[in-house]
Amino acid sequence: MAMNVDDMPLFAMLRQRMSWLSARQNVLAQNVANADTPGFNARDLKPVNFEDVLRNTTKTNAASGLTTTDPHHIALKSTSSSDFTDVEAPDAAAPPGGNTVSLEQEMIRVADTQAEYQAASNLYAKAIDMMKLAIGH
Amino acid sequence: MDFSTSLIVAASGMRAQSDRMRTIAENIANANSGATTPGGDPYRRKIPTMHSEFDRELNATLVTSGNPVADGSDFSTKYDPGNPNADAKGYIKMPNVNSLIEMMDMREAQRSYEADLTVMDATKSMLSRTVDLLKK
Repeated sequence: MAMNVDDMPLFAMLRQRMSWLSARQNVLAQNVANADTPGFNARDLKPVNFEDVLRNTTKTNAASGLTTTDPHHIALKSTSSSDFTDVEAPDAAAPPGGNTVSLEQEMIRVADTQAEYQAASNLYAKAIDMMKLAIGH
Repeated sequence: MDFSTSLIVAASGMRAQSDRMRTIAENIANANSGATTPGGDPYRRKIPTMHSEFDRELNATLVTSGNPVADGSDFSTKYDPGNPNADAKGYIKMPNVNSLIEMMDMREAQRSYEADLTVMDATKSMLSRTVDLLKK
């Protein structure tokens, strides 16, 4: 059976982590853009329990919805940005006027997401390096 | 793709803030624009508006600037008997623009614009990190 890079738990987990972070960045961009819209409520992405993700990815094919019976089949990918849910998360120090976005708090979240993404992508690169080492490159 | 959605959302915020800045600039520029006819009204202050709009295609909430609305507050008066538009007591009506309020509005628009720019920078660096993985 053909082996996909995504079939390896480490890569699958990092991919999930990176798509969660980019989905969060998307939610934060909406908050910042609507920082001066009356009545807009700040939102944030629900944290994903990555321990569960790890458990799911280590089980063979449990995460994907369809089983591939032929190497020419394309496996159905289960993770997409719509898998993550966003909830209302009013910022603590929000300005008055029915808008719960605090730019300062959003900036912290954006920087945080960026740093976490950097960490995940560095880990991904490191894992690829290790793969290369294993096959003798 | 999520990153381009984030960039489009941030860009919509920047567009709305610069539209707001244009209305503020109009107000400041016309702070001394009196009436052109005797008994007429001087320039009336415009209030910039913006509202959020859900984009089904992007599955994201964008922001758009609406039409500016007129500020209904009273005009101030100035004693200027030599002015041809002055009333019997020698007063003329001046626009209801308070430059201090406009300055504060301008500061806020600038701050929000910078925040949108920061989000854009962060998203761009995340995107280039992903592209860098191809170099490995």
